[in-house]
Amino acid sequence: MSKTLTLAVSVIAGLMLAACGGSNAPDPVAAEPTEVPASATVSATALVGYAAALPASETLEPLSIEKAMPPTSETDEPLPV
Amino acid sequence: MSHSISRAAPLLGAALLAACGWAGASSHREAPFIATVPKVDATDFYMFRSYEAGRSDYVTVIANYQPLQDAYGGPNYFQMDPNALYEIHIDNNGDAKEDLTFQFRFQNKLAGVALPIGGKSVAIPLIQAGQVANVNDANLNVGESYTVTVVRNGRRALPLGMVSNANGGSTTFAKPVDNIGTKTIPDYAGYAAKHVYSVNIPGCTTPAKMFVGQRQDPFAVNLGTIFDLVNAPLAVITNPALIGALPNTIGDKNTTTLAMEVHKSCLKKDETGDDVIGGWTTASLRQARLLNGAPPSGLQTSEKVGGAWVQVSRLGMPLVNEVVIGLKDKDKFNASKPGGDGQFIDYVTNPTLPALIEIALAIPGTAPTNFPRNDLVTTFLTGIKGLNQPKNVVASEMLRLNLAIPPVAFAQQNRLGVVGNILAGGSDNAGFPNGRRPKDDIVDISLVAMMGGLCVANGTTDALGFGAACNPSAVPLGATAFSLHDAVDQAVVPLLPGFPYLNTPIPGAQ
Repeated sequence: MSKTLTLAVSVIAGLMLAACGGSNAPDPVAAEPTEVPASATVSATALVGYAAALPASETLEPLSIEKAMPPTSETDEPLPV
Repeated sequence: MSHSISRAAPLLGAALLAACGWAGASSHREAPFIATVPKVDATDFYMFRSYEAGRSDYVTVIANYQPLQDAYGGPNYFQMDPNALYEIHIDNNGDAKEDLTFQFRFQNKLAGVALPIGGKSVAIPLIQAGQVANVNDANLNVGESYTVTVVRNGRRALPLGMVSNANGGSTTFAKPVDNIGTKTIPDYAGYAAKHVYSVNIPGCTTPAKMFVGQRQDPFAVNLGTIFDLVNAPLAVITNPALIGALPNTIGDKNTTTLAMEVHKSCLKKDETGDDVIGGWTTASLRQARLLNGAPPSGLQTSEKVGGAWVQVSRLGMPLVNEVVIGLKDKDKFNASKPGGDGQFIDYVTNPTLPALIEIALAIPGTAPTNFPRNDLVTTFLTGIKGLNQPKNVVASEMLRLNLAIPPVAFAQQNRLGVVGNILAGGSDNAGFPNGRRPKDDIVDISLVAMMGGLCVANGTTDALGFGAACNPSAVPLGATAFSLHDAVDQAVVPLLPGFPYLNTPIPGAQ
């Protein structure tokens, strides 16, 4: 086996391993959230932090806010974002 | 007129023209972010000793919101945002911090008017189900109301209490529906008048008046022409005979007014306090907003908001954020407080507007050359000594009013405010920039001022104290600067003779 062919076989084998995950078992896939988590509304800091960290998405459906109860403050200054 | 004003009068008028020029006009859709949220867009702020007969010891404060309203803008029209905070601030010791704040919060309640249709009760799509004539009229499908909280010593301090109705003590006030048209509201003036309240303010022994509702926009301006590189012949806008040659481009628009008429003693720090107060308005939104992809039935259910209030609109002296602050800093200015105005100082000491006027009118070499423009800094950020400068002033942008200067009846008011009065040799020192009245022609004052009239007035002897560099040789236009105008006359805008002063709004149909 030439050096070139040996290298090509190694690379292809690596790609196949990567593509198959190295085994026949499927990867566990985290379910996309469907609603705003309760942890996001425990405080104004948590809410602003949650909103600031939400990634922009072109494909996801909006999260339900039915149960969300955002906290408000009449005396706090805005948090830096 | 005080002695100091009297001595300076001949030059001060011209000086004020120049000083206020860069600050003159209005604030409709002036910043990138605020243009996306018109319900919290402050358009004009007025503060003046009431000139209605018998009310001269009161001060009228008006904050206008929601610009360029077309009267036919149904079916929802222009309700205020229940998720916003609208505020009027008063600084009564010159330290650039609010000492008294009135906080307006709105509630819009769906009445749920439905009609029996084929055996089913079905909700109607309109905000009215018939003629409207009374407060909380049964034919209104949306009830608009508001409360006013009074806060002292810092707007985010704990509130002192609520403004209450002098008749009955309620702290919730009905707001009139907008002027849908003459078939729905045959007597809008009479209907709106039922929403002028006599109110008690915590900490104030004298009842005040209050009105919140739609009004005809009182601001007059040749708006399109100005923003189109001043698209008018120089010969027209420098001819004093043509100050009213063109129609007011926003003369067919309405706005939403928050108005209070408060005894002047309630605005001063105390009986011996400074007679000069500063005022401005702000609007704020909650810092976080969650939008609902599946809003339930109801009114404005598509959002839930939380967090602290974030200021997104600020207005004291007119047109500052419109034509003085650079585009990149307009949102920043709207979020700022007067105490931090040092960050914007370059826009005042080295204003771009005179150079833009040079370009727009093809009159190179005509902008004033006295840099830094201490004439503008002095006049605009501190008030004029002897006129409206607080005793212990901290430089900051706000509308300043000397409560000791008596009001002048409407017919005798000079349309160019203090400047025009001095040039005319009159006795009206109750106008802009000593506060601002609806009749004061801010645009014309601004144009004159921008091109250096202040330094012409300051003369070669620094008569007004704006610095030796501020003299006629720094003003290439010379006396011609005093002839500039926008060809729209503010003084002919229809107004009411008394509180709330601003005219009945234009109906959506008639």
